[in-house]
Amino acid sequence: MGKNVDLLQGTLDLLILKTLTLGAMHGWGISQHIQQVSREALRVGQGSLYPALHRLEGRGWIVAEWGVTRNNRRARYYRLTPAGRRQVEQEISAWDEFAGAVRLVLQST
Amino acid sequence: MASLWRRLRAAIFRTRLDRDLDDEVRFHIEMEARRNRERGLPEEEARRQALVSFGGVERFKEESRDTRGIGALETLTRDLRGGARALRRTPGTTVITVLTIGLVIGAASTIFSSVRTVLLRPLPVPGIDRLAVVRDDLPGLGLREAEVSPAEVLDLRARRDLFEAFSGITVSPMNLTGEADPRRIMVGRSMGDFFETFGVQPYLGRLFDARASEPGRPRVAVLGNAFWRTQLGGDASILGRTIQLDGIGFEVIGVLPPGFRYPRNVQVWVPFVVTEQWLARRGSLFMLAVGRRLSTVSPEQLSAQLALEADRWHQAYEYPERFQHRLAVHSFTEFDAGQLRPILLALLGAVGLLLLLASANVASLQLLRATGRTRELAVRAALGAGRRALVRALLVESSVLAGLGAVLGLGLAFLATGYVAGAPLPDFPALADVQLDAGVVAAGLMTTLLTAVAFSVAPALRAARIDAAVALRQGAGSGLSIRRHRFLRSSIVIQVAVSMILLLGSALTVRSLRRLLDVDLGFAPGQVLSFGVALPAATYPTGENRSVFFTGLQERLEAVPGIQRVGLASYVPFAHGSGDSSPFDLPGVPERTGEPQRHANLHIVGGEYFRTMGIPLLKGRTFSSEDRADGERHVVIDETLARTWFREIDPIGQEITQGGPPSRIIGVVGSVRLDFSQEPKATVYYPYSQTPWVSTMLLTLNTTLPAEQLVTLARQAVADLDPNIPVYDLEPLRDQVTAATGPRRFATALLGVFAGTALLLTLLGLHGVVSYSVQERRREIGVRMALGAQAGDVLNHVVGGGMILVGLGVLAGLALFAGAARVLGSLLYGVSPLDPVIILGGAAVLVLATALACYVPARRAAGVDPATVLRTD
Repeated sequence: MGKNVDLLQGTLDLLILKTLTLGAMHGWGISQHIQQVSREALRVGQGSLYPALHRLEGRGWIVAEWGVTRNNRRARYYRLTPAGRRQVEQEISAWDEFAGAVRLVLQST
Repeated sequence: MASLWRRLRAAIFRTRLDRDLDDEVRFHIEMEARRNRERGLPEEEARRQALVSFGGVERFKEESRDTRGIGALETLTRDLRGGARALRRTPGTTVITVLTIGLVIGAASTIFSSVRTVLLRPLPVPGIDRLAVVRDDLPGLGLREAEVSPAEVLDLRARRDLFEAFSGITVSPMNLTGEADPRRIMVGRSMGDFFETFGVQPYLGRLFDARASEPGRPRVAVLGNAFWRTQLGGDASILGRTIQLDGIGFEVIGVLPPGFRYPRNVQVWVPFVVTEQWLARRGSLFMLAVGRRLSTVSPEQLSAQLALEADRWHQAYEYPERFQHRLAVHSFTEFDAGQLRPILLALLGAVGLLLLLASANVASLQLLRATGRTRELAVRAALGAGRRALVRALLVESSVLAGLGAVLGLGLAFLATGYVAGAPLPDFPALADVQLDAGVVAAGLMTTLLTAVAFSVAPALRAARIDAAVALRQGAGSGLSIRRHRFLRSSIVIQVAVSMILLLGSALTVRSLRRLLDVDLGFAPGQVLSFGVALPAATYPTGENRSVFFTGLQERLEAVPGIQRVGLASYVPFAHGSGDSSPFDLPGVPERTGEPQRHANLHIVGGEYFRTMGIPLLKGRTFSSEDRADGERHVVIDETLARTWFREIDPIGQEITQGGPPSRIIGVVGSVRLDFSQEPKATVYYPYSQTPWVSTMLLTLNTTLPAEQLVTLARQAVADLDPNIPVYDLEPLRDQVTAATGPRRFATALLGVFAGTALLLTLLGLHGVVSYSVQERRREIGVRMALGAQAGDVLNHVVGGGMILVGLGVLAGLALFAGAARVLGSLLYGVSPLDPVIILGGAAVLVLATALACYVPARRAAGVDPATVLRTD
């Protein structure tokens, strides 16, 4: 079990959007992806995931539709909209700036 | 915009979206469970852990839903239903609050609408604030604010530097014939720029202007809209047709628009012909002078200029010094409101006080409700309701309350204004146009909302801040301590003070009215019926014609079984007119220093007038067949005249001259009042047989027959003599006298209702607060009693606390009342506002009633079983 880090809302949004750049996915898939790729460091609570998804849907950055899984299960798939795609790029560069700045401060003696 | 669309869609397709969310959640949990199984957990454990890691499903669903934005509509519905449930749970306070708000809004709206209409906008006339009424003031003649003469109207009209339009109008009843039934209507005879002054445009045809008053012009008439519609069928072909007024033909040239009707009792307007004779007479006559001030002239300038004009007249036309003539000018609205103004203002004050009381009352009730539910609110908070959600729920609840009250209030106001507009108050015609004012309604709604809502938000916020655990532990009586709560205490004091003021005001007006009705009028209206007959000059040109007619009418009426006595009079007190007055001379009595001007009313009477009216004969004799047309001229004077000017000298046999040949006084009768507000005026009575030139006479009958029967008999008797003469205004005199007190009775009744409502609300409020206080201090009381306090001690303690507040309120109320005493004095009749009996009585009633209101819950407090109380809770 990885650390249960409380992710900031904005950060979670960014992670979800980035995950979806890889293709349409359902909620479960998104949370699993984040968990695996972060090597279990980031565990998204379902209580935060779905509200975040709905929020992003509200902002028009993702859309949802029903689909079928490999096991013939009915699930709700989310995918990026063009606006969402633009948003991802913006957010990633903002994040890089932020992280860089923090690193500079931490490295100063 | 897109989000709004989404919300709407969410609201409409709620169920389907909920199902979708359910499916999504279920899928997620299943996947999690499957992964757990893959990790090696047994089936049940796998599923359980999946559910656990998911968290509170329902709560999550709600949060999702909230984020999705269906929240608002659904929350509102939920709050509304919750609010309605909460209100139903406390039916007593809910009903009381709704009634309170309703009654007060209803009363306030009605009064404010009436005030607005009567005092600010009596007629739909443009620039009404520039309309001014000019009156003749002749204190030397005992005439204040009297009508002016036609010559004076012409002079004022000539002042184009002051008025852009000026006119005069006089109203007389006339016989309308040429239609199916000869009818008596009110005709306004105007001169100058009457219609221009009021800015009236014709609805049909055209209107006449100042030139129509020149002698020799064609006789034209303009019809009032309502009259044209109801009596002449609303037929447009009326234009060009001729109507007969008192036998003279007038061509109808136009119809007025529906909004305009001034003076309010007039049905047809015709030009007043200014002949030579009118140009010579000055000093008060009969013209109501109304002009439109130029916008460049201020009211002060107008007053000053008119004073100068009056001086000019005194010199140019030789007004006698003793007249002390002055010109008085008023704004039209002020003049129109007349006597109604002080009454309306007083009612306005009363309703304002009632509003204050109701606000304090509703506020404290809301406060009590909110704090009484601290426990409930604490539980809800513990269950997860956010602070915002709690406040929102309470706001919705109090809005519902306020809304219900407002609806009730508006309904009541609507009914009340309908009643006021329809009620016959002939002395105050302005009230007929009263309408519920949209502005007033809106203001009332806003006030209600603000009050009810504002006073539940504060306690709600406070309640929401309470630590749930503390609240639950302390039990029901937590959150507020009456002793420390200034707001509740001051609200009680305010309510008691207002009740005191209204009670005293009401008691005084009732007493004043009683005094008014008890006043000795000088005659006995009980058995008297009167009606009028007007003989047109065209068909009855000479005094002899008229005399023959009236004598014949008298005889016919006397012959009817059921009619005991018949009298004849040029006017009847309270019923018709007030007659002329003029100065007189007493050759045989030298003027004493300091005696008032010799001025008296003239009254022409005949038949058995004095006996029908029950006016006592004090000396000498009344008129009889001895007073013939060609004989010595005789008059009868009244007691006021005898007392004021004759004093010890015996008036019988003395001579008196009043604008004609000298007459001999043959008798003295009792004095008579012409209306309630004035003292009896000196009167000289002339016998009809010697003054037959009067063409309009009133018949006074002593009869036991009912009015309906009498109408037919009277009409028949008149028709027998001349079928073209209508009979008008047949009414029992008693009804006329009662009607004269109409407005006062109306105001007194209203004030009584206000006072009663105020008292009731205060008692209920006090009861509520004391009950709450008792409830809150139950433990304390239990402890005291366990330690040995008697039930009586507890009683005294609780009641005493309440009565201290009452005492403060009574004192405050008395102080304010004393301050307003002078203002009230002018409205009262025969009663001083500082009447000690009334004041003490009122205070006593209030104190007793409030003591009772405190006693009931205190009794319950005394009945507390200390053991029970200390054990529970």
